[in-house]
Amino acid sequence: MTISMDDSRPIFLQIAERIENDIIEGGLPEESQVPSTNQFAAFYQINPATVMKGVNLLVDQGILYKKRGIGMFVATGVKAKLMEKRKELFYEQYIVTMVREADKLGITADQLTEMIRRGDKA
Amino acid sequence: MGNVVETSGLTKTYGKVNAVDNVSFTLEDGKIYGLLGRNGAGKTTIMHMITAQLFATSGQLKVFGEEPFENNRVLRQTCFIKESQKYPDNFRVVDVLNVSPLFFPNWDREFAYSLIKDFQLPLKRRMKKLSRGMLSSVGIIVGLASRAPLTFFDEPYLGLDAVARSLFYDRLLEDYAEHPRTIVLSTHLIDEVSQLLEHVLVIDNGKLIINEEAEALRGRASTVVGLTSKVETFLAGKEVIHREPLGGLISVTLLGALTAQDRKKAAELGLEITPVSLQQMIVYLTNGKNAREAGVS
Amino acid sequence: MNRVKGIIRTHLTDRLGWIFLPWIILSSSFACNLIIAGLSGEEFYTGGLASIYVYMTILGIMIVAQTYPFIIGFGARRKDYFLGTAATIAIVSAVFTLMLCVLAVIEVQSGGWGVNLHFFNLPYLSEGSAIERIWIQFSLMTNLVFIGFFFSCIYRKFGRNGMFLFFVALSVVLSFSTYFITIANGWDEIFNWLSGISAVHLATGLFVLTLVYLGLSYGLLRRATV
Repeated sequence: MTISMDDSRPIFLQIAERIENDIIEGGLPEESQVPSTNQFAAFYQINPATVMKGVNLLVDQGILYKKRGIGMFVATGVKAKLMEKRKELFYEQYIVTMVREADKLGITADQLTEMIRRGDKA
Repeated sequence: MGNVVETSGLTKTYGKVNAVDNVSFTLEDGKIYGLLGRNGAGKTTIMHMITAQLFATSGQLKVFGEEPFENNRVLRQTCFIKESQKYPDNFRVVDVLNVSPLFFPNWDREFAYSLIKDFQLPLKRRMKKLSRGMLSSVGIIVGLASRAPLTFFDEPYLGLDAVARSLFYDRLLEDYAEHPRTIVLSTHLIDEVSQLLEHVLVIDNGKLIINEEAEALRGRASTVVGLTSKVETFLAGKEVIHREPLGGLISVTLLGALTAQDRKKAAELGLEITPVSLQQMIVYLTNGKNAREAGVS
Repeated sequence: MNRVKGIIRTHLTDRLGWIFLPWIILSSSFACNLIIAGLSGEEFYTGGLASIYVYMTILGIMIVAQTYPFIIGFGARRKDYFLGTAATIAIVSAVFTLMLCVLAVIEVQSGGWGVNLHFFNLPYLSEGSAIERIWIQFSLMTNLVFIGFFFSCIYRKFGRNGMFLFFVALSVVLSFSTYFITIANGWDEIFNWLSGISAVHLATGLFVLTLVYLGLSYGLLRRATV
């Protein structure tokens, strides 16, 4: 099975993001073992060296840690850390763009707040 | 990690035509390479020279640190699966499997037979009676089960459907994980294999035009679409590899990663930016309008 | 050495081409002649034995086209291919020759298979001691296979045009030698000389020629591509 990656960015970043997502969504609880490089490679049909690069990125950030001879594990307390990071990203990616677009269309801050409330119910 | 293949100034001339023109690169141990380019670009000729089946007109070539010609130390570590591989007329599939270990010392018979099952090949059928796809499957099986430290797959899946190709990628990655080796995939189905590759070599008209890590090539090219005048202001100082006007609009493909600033500027100009796949980028680079040459890395 | 053995085994994997077909052809020729001899009821000489020699010549011509691209494509050295192929030809020719000689003995013992048929035991070919007979037939067979092999090596190295040029050159050389022999009135001498040579000497001469083809074939194969 081929799971297509986004063409615009390096795959190792996308792998790191997928693991982060799994941690945030609870698929990979803290202190649980992460699938091996080769399992990832086989699952996504991706070069193992690329997967390794993505995993190492997370190891460098202290999100994953290595247990010798056993494998990779999710570090304690990283879920909150990741959520924080994602919130910042969310602000940059969505809020800033949204406010700019709203400004262009002449939507006031109040109207925007109202729209968000409506979106929540939908 | 050592270099498995080193070429420098490798050239093959037929009459006045340079089929391979001054090509220099190295292949490192344990990586999966993509040797990409259009048909007739010179990919197969390069692989023929590395495996000593063709003679170079000039240039240096070292495989496992030695000259490959008539050198069993090199040849027994190399497996070259090519689309045009010939088999004796009276050979059946099972005969090919039986003689393979005589040529490939790492041959894994069990693996070969499990692949025969995966690809549903009739063991007793004569090679010349096989369909194009079945013939390709035999090549794939020999290439995988030989476990040669340097394995070339040249257009290994002509006639194979998407399911069989995916099976090939699965088995290739599984076996590569357990038995790391240098693998060179030469194909024009670039998008399908791009995720499998660690390093990419692109050949165009006999010349090496790209020699880079696959990851570094991702996002290297992007297409910008918008009003012609606005796109033109955005283009200043950028390398354009493709242009397609459409009424007052224009679609331009750029080489080089875009910075956050570029993106901001594009957004302000109302331009749309879309990623370009590796395959599309190579199509643009090798359509004959761009003369490039890769630096020796 | 192992690699050469591997090439021999690869060749002999094609048992149909190397073993069964020549004997199927020879047996059918033998069967026809046996029937004719039985019906005629007289002493009967036949050249049916030539069928296996013709087949082996064709086999020699086919070998390179059939196996060189395959075996070199699978990463064998040209030298090993050459040695393995030459060894296969030698082994198969030796075994076939022995079998033919045994059949010749049986033919004599059985009074020409009971019908006075001379199929395996022929004048000239079956002269001299057992060793000499074997030598004669072995040299003849290997010579024919290696001529075929040599031609196909020319084709492999130089392609169709090279083959064509080779035969043009060969026919020019032959025409000129014929011409010079004729104007020198040399034909009588040549025939006298030939008729004076025994089959064994001729066989040894053929064997020397065979070695020449072999050397040339190796030179061609070493520079041939797939």
